[in-house]
Amino acid sequence: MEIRKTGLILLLLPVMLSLLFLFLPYKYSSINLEERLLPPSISHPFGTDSLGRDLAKRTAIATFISVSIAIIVVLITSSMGTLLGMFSGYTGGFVDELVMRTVDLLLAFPGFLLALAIVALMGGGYWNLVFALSFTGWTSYARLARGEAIKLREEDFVKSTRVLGGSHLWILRHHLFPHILPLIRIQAVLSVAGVILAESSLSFLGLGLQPPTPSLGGMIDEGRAFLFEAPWISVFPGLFLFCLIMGLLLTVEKKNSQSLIS
Amino acid sequence: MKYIIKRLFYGVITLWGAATLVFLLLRVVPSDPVELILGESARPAQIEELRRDLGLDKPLHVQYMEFLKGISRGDLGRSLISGRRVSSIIIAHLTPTVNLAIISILMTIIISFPLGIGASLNRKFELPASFFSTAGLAIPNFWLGPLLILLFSIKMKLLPVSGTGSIYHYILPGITLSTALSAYLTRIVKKSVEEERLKGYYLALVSRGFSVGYIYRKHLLPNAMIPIITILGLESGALLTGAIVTEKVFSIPGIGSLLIKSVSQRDYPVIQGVVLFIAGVYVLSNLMVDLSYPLIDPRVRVGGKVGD
Repeated sequence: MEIRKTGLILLLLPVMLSLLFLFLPYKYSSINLEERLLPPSISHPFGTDSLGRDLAKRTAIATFISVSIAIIVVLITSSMGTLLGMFSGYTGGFVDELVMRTVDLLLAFPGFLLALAIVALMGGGYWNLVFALSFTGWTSYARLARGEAIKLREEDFVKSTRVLGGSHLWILRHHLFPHILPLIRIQAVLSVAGVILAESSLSFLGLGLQPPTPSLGGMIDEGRAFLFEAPWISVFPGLFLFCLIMGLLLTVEKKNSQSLIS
Repeated sequence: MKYIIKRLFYGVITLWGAATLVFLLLRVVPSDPVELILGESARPAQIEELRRDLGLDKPLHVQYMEFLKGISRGDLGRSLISGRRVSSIIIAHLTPTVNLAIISILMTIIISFPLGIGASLNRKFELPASFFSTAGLAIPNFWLGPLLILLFSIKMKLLPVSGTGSIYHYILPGITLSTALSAYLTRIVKKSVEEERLKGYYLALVSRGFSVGYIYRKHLLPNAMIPIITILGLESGALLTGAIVTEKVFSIPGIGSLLIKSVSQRDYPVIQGVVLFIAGVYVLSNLMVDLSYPLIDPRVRVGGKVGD
């Protein structure tokens, strides 16, 4: 219980700070060369970057963009994967074969590489990132849901529902889904962490969100040229990322936290 | 023998699948590579010519067969920028990436084995091990890298910032690339060793008076190795993917830098070649893991299943 509370606090820290920073009286893209590379102070809590833009405001906006991409991707992948996996595990046969071969094919590829290839070919930007990161993300849910569905299919309570005249749809909704949901929930939290990491890696490589849209990965990249004179440019966005991901991992700790790298 | 042939067959099938995926990706994507390469002001004749050069004017199934034929001969086409063979460009960028990968795997083993085994033996190690195994996964490597540079190169002036001149150049990149894998493997080592300890033979050997050190060396660790080697092998293949980011942080002229450079130059044959190469290494490392089971687990040799 302690560990999960710590996780929640770590997770809320960057989110709350970001909310607060939204009230700063700067625009995230307004350039002010007189105020370039200012160290953190009361008026600029995270300092300013090489173009004099306020880093606190940029970090805050980047955090919300990152988190929103991750949530959209996980909503898409978890619902798609769970439905496909549940259905294919429950019915078996040809559908199952088709879904699982597709999963195998996608897993023959490192997921991040595939996402990278997609944004490299389609270009970066918000919705292209959502597409690229959703492309393989559903496979882990499909495997999870399928495994459970195969186990549950043979259970007595499912068989007796059939005998009593319950439809397949009823069984899927009222018997399989509630059993699968807890597993999916853990996987979903881990995926949010994984997607945040993948998105910011792509943005760091210059393939994700395009400037002037701020992104945590992109800001860390911009700060690398000023590590000596202005280390805060890279340090604060990275710290936010670390808190978000560590917080998410800790909230599901002790249950299962192994499938972040995929 | 039958086992090996079956695995090899699966390996070829997955390689074929990965190649097909790359092929489809390049053609299904809504943007036309030819127009992207030439820009909006290109004349129709120019577009036609490049399309012919790239072989994009032929029907899709013909393109696909030529693509597969090329790959089976190791021919990945030519760069649009330099005109050199993609395969020789990849080979020219291979050494730094291989060095980085080897150092990262060694670092992973050096860190995660003692930490994981220690945590299973002594409660004192448990907290640091579990903290490391979560924090290591949570720290983004493109942030860890600059932090290490800031600390060891800029503040303490101990290690070089970037480049590939000596082994010292690979220390910080090695740490950067291996941290996530070490964290993950520490968890696997600890879990795997603890599961073995619950088995009957461990208690039997302890009650016969054998020392814990002896049981670990002779019985427990060899058994615990199977899942550990599986994960290490699988993730080593994925290490090349992580190397893309690490190489950018430390300006290492390897496969990853090549990929990023060719993306910015829209050099499609090179992008395709590098993606295929990394995917191929990934599939091969999975295959190697499968093939090594008979060596580490006699049960596989006689046709049983791993984990029985």
